Amino acid sequence: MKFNINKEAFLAGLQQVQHVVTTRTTLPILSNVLIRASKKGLLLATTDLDVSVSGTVEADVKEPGGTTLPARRLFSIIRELPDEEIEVSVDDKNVASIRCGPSHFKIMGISDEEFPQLPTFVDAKEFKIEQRVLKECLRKTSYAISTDEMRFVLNGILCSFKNNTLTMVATDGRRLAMADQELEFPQSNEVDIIIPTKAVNEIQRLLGDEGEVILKISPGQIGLDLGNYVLTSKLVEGNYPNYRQVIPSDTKERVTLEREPLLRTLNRVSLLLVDKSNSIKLRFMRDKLRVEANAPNVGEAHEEMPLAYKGAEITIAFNPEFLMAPLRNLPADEVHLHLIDDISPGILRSGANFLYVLMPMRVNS
Amino acid sequence: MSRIRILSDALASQVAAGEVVERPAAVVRELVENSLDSGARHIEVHVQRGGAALIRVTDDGCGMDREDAMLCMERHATSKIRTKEDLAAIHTLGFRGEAIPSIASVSRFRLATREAGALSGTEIEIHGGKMHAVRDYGGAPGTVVEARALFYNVPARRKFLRSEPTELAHVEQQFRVHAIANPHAAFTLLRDGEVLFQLPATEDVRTRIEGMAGRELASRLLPITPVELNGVTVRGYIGGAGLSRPTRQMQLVFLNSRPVDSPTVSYALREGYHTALMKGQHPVTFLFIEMPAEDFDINVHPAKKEVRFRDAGTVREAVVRAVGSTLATTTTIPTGHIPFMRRPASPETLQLNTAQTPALFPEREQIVTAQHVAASSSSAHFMPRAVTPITASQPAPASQPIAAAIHPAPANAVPNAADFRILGVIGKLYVLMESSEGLVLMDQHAAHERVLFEQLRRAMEHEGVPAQRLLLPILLEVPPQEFDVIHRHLDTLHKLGIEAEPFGSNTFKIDALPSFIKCDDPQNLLRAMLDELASFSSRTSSVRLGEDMIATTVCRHAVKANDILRIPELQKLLADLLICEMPWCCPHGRPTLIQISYAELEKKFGRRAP
Repeated sequence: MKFNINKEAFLAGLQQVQHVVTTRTTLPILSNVLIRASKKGLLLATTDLDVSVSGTVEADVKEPGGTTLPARRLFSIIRELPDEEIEVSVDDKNVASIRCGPSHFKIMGISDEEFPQLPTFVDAKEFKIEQRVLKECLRKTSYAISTDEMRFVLNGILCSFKNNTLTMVATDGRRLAMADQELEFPQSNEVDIIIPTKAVNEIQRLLGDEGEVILKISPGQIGLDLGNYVLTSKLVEGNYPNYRQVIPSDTKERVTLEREPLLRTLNRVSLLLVDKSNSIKLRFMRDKLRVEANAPNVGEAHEEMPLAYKGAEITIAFNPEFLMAPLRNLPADEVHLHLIDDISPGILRSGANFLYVLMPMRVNS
Repeated sequence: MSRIRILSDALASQVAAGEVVERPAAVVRELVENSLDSGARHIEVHVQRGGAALIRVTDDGCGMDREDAMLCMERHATSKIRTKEDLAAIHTLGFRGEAIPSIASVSRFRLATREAGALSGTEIEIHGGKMHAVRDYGGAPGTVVEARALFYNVPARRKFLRSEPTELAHVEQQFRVHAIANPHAAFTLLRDGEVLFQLPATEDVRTRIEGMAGRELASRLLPITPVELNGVTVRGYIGGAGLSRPTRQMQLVFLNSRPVDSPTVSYALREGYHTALMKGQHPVTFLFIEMPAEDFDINVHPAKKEVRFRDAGTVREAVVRAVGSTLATTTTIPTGHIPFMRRPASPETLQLNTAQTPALFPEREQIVTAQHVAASSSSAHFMPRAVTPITASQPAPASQPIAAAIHPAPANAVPNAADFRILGVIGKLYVLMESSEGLVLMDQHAAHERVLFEQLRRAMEHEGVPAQRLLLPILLEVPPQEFDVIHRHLDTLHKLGIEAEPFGSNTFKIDALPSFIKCDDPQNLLRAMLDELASFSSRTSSVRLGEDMIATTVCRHAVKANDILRIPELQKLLADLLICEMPWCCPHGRPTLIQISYAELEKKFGRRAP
């Protein structure tokens, strides 16, 4: 195999695929990136056996062929090369020779025959969705994914394709984020899947603001075709809990809050808290909201913001991180908080497409 | 033809012997108990080949007349109980009337006894349960019982005997516990004619412990502040914070002078020690529990090691309190181990120790010496030496230098930071300090962990633990007994931020979890707490349950080895440490302070005879 390639193009390609590579593995081939040169250009692919990413970059292929090279090392070498033009040749012992201006590297690789087979999709259910829309839905929900490995079904985002709507849900048992998006698809395509956390992170990285993405779902796996890049992932097996039942149907009070100012207030007041376990209190009073925090041996802080509130006075305590996370990730200027009392869940809404349920904290006195 | 038949007496005895006499140590136990019950003032135990060849117990007790001597060979013949009521309140060590015939059925057995004042005594020989000879006996008043060739007629059992040293170790352990339980009687142990232990009668248990377990250990024991609760009295000695053993062998518990092994008491000890005990280690205790004989049942197992309490709660409470308050009032820094200082603990050495008349407490010796040094060399020293003894419970002698007179040590006070002069830090971890008693070392990480641990625990007790309510309740299924334990402690869990309620049989619904820990696995968290719940006493704070989590949390925040602390920081750390409830060890039970006394230093430099 022999090809010439532009440094920036090579680097961009490696950049997109190298995140999948795990740093610690007992299988050396998983540290490597698959490189296949053909008339179409250069195919780059990595996998950790659960998630795989592949992409094609332009190259001047002199001799077609394939090999695998250590992904992280290759990336850092290419990044530091002095010139724009890179010349790569690989001998039949998988030793790669990389020349660039005065630099010459020889890297030992592993045969591409040892690289795991990338998944294929036959008879898959296909959905077409704008990249920008999918990216926003993921951003609105992914922070609520659970890291508790005991409840593995929560280690991912539920994507429910039903009634021409895509609903995404993430929860860690303390809060739940849900985003809806209308989507045209035949009824035979209705399906519920759970995309694992690692794939969610990779998808967010790959998605851009332009163009469309084609989702292919077949039992146990999902593929995302972005044109120049393809991501495939295993799905989390299991049944997602019935999230509808934790969303209260009736709420008593509804307040409209300005997102940015509220986020800044919460951020300021919580500076006082010693660690993440402390709570922040929201006191809804006539025409104002008072945000309070106090930490023993540190001090206390409060801040008031004017508010069109006419309901009953409610004081409710939340984990400030849990309250700030959706505010950081929403684009809207206004959010609506729905409350019942100090021990029932609070509901944050933004537009018709976003809902966030947050359980309060009990603070002993 | 009927297939079921009544066993012959000899065979029945051998069957019974299987339970009572499982190894030479068991024979020693039964015979020594008989001797003690007979009121003996001196008991001599002689074993050959680990007890396999010969076990002979000689006492100067009341002896028996011929009729009794013959009768005691029968099964279920005993002088110790007569009626059902006696069985309900056993005051003697033995009562079952099984031991003598059982031993006689599996050995070449000889019993020789004479009552004081009787003209002649009786000697009986039985071989494998068969009467061999009966004759007059002219020895000293008292009783001699011999079991030779143990299990000679039960080859299966004989095969199970371990090596001679192992069996001897078991015999020694039996001897040890009885000797400590009965300091008023003199004890002698001989092996193949050679004296291993010779313990004169004494009134002081501590002297006996010293004789048995060595002076080094005895010097590190704390006298228990006696506790009396609903008729249960707890006294004795326990090891201070940081003193522990990997096995339970030195965790001796005596119930009305009878060595017992009780899970109730073990739990209570663990609870009482709490963080003063390293994980996976067992405390060193010489615990004497006294209570009315009708409040417990020892007739659980023929070997009489197990005991059932009528009111286990009271016993636990009394032990927890005794241990807790003893450790809390301790003001002694644990002494450092200096392995090459100690002489090998050969039996000869131990015997030599005991040959002395009741020795001074080693701690007292150290203090006297330290002050002697202080007085004799005070002019040569550039710093005024505060001679406030670290062992504040020891009365300070009248001839104190002035410094101490100005700052007299309050009775039972933990030393304060002014009693130490910080010299520096070695290995970026150990703080070297000079005290009136010698060199004191402080582990900066362990010390800071203890300080943070107590601060956080106080804060949590005071302000409560914030609970994060859950969107999706967690269902936790537990075995029935554990369900009951959790159910009784729901309030306690609530205070710790865990909101649980029963949800059908053997299942709890958990609605909220403490927010201060990253609690991803509530099932495991609760399971880990179950053990703690089992040993709960009324004295225990609810935050106690979360202490493992607190300990892990503070470990991350505490200064580490290699963190360079300046003198003012060290002074603050020391001052904070000394006002802790349990300053002597970190939350995981490792010591925070270690002392190497002047006495030890002098010994090492050859200024004083070892």
